[in-house]
Formats: sequence, C-alpha cells, structure tokens
Amino acid sequence: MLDAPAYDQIEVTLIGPGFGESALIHLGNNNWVVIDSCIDSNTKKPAALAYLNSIGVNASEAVKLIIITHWHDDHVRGISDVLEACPDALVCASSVLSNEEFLATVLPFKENNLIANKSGVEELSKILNILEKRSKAGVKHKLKRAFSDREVYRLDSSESGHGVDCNIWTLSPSDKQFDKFLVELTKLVPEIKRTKYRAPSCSANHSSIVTLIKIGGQSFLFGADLEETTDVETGWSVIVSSSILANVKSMIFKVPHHGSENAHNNDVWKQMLHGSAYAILTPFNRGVKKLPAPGDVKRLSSLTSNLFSTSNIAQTKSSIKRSSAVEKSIKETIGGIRDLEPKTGIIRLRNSGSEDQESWACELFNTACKL
Amino acid sequence: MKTNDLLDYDNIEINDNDMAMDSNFQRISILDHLSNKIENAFQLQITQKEDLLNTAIEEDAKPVSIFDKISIPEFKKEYKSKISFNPIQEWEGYVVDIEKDSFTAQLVDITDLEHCVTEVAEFPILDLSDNDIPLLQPGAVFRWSLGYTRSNSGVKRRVSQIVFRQLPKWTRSDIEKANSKANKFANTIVWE
Repeated sequence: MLDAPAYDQIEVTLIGPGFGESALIHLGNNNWVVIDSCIDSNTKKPAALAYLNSIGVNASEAVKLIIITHWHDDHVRGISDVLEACPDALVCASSVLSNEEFLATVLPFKENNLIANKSGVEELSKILNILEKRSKAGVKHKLKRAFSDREVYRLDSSESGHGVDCNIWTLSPSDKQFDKFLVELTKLVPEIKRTKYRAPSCSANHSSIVTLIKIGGQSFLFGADLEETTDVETGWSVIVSSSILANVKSMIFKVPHHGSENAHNNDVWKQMLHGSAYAILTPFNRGVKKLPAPGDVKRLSSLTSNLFSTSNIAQTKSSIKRSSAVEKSIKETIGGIRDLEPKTGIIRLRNSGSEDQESWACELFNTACKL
Repeated sequence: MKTNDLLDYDNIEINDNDMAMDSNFQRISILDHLSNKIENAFQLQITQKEDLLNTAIEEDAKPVSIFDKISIPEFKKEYKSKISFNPIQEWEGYVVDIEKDSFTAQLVDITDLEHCVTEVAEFPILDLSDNDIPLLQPGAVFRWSLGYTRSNSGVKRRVSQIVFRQLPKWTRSDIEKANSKANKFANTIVWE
C-alpha cells in the first residue's frame, strides 16, 4: 500500500493521534527527520518507526535528526524507542532536558510505580538514560539544544538528491520563554510528606520547539504546541519577528496545539505562509475541551482551503465492548466515556521531485480527513 | 439513682437513611455511620454519669470512687450488618482538568491491563464523597468501580463508586534520590 518517496521527492507526513503526534520529513536521498513521537493505535508501537518500516526505509540508517519539541506525553510517547532505533541520528531538544532544576523536579514522579496511569516522565527517564549512555560512549556533538533562530542541521546540495541545500532551524524557545517555564515549574516541585500524585501537566507548551525546514525555495513550518501569549518576547509574536523568516513563506504548516485558538496568530498566516498552504493537524481528545473545536475548524478553514486532520475528533466514543450492566452503569453515572486514543491516521504530502518542486499531492490514510 | 444500667443498643434507632447509600451510588457508609451513632450514644451516657458524679461530690463533700457510681457499658448484643461489594469493572483514573462542576480524568482499564486501554471521561464533582473533595487536584489518583452490593437481607444493587487513593507520601529519600539522578544526568550528558 505504501511506497518510499523517490530520492528527489520531498515528503511531509503527519501521523496521529493514536497517542499523540509525530511528523516525518523526507529531505531527499533517503535523509529523514522525525519530529516527536506517537504510539500507533493498532500496533501500540512508535508510529514513526512503523511507517518507515512499511515503506521499506531502514530507520537506523535513514533518520538523521530527531526533534523532541516538548515533554508532554502526547508528543514524547515512544520517542525512546525511536532514539534506540536510530543510533546515529542527531537529537535536538529544548534546553530544559539539560537543566538540573527541571530534572530534579520531574524525576521524583518517575518513582511512582503505584500508578497504572503512566506519565511522560517515564519516557523522559528512558531518553535521559539513552543520552547518558551515548555521552559516556564518547558520542559527541550528537545532542543539540534548541533555541530561537538556531540552525541545527544542514544537508548539502551534493547529498540531498535534488541538488538544493536543506537547512533546519529551531525558532523557539526564546530565552524569556525558557525562564518563564522554569518559574512555572516551581509549582510542580513535590513536597516532602505530601501525598504522591501523578505528574500533572504544566505549561510546557510555551517552551515548545517550532521548527522551520528550508529546502531550496520551499519551506515548511512545524508549530509543535506553541501557544500565543500577550508578551511580545514569547509565543508566536517573537517568532513572527524573527530575522530568519524574512520573505520565507511556508507551503506546509503543522498547525500548533491541535488548532486551538490560544495558539493562533494572524501574522503567522499573513507573513509566514503561502495563501494556498497546506495546514495539517492532529486532534486532541484528553481535556475538557476537545481540539480542534468547531470554531477552530471554521477559523482555520477561512484561512486555507487545504486543511487536513489525522482523525475526525467527533468519532471518539469508546470502542471497547463491555457487558450490558457495565455499559448501563456508565451511562447512568457519567453519560459515557470516550477513547483517549482514537485510531491512528496519516496525512502524506509529496511533491513531484526535482522536475516540479512546487507541485504537491496529498494522500490520506486510515482516519485522516479533510476538514 | 441508677448507676448500673447498660448501654441499650436496642434503643439506638436505625432509620432508612442509615441503610441508604449516598446519592448517585457513592461510598457506602452504613457501617461507619452506625459506628459513629453507637460511639455518640456511649459518649452521651458517660457525660450524663459524670454529671451525676460531680453532683454527688458537691453534695457529700467527700471523695467518691468513680467505680462506685458508674459501670463500664457492656455490649448487650452484637450488631451485625455486612454489605459485600463485587466489582465487575474497575478503572484507575487521574485528574487531568478541573472545572466548576466537573472534572476530567484519564482512565486506565485495570480489569483488562493486558490491553492497556486508556479512556477519558468527565465526572460531576457532586458525585464525590465529602472525604474525597479535598483530595481533588490535578494528578490525583482514584479508583472508579462498577459492581454490585449485596446486603444481609439479600438486596442486590448495581453501584458505581469513586474512591480517591491515599498514596504514600513523598519522602526525603525520594527527593534526594531524584536530585542525585538529576545532577548525574546534567553533568554526564554532553550537549552542543
């Protein structure tokens, strides 16, 4: 069903939700980038590895860069397996992963073996063990901190297969975002003699890594979960004013934070994207508010006619078959429950190769749909 | 003055409310409730006898042994009431979001841990028992059980109960261990 892209074809694939989201980018000539990780709803394994395997790509040789945008568990689940499977890949993560204060705050939650609901801390701990092992083995310059306007990877035109350079920048987090995150983190510090609890979520979204990939005249923007703020030195406002982005208009946009309004910035659409840009997103089903909300879909649809989601969020009623007594009790007490992990869908965009790099085709697999 | 009367459990009134469960099938509190009632009745009787004793001391102005005046109540008959609960479905949940009237929780089906199914649901805060309300916070862990209760008289009811778990407390050792690991990772992982 699935075939590998030609050596000179650029591909952008978004997989989700399963549990989270993952993006794969073929830069050309079998050089791949993986941004975040999600678990496939069928195989319960990292979807990025399953996808590459299904199209006949050997991940251990082909993946050159892995970006971990932030530590929320819908973005890191299974990333340690991806790291293990791609030992030569450069790993790029936010500075928080190398911050002792951050690690000291979250690692106590890893010891909470009494809880069946695992958090992203277990994954974080596995990642740290892998990175420590690599560092001890003397694998240097394979770990890069991400911050505003940093070029983290370059693929020369002679190796790219289509004859043009590839450059990858991280556009966030800004210094101020990072500082704010550390302040926010202090609220999570476990207190001695206080009853244990599962690691709660904090505003890690504000320290998300936004990634810009430029391949010749084409560019692609991956918004992670970065939200907008009222402070011009943080959020999307600081990115819009980035000097790296002067006259750069992206053809593909991974919509930030599942299309939510609090991640929206009009200037991003006006200044950073083509008028006919493909906007791709994964839905979010875990909170009180499901994302994207109907209003979000309406807003995004008014900005592009090419809006796609890996799954239709409305179809999330629990798929588990239980006895009639249990079903009746659920209905009587809380009305109903829903799947946290709707079926995994795939949006795949490929261009026509070096002959016509600006012509794109979109394919949808499984639950993926146009919004 | 009667000084040797027994605590009369037959006169502790058990009404319908004692036998009913909290609204919306919350925690079953019958045994706790009866226990409190018995204790209250006992306390009341002791208080009455102490008042009598004090009065006697004042009147006679001479030492009186407390054992001359009151006796330790004895159980006249043992009250037995048992309600068994048989769960047919259980989840472990943790609180993700809290709104004004409800909270959202992520659930792991612990009846079927092999398939590791994760679901999400919204619960009315009104359904929580008073004891659990202070424990409601993001990250708090609870057990949600659906099942049947059966009383002595054979009455069977389908019930749903939420009980927040009192997990162990963080210890100094937990924190020190984490600090030590954090220090090790920060110093050994080489970032560019």
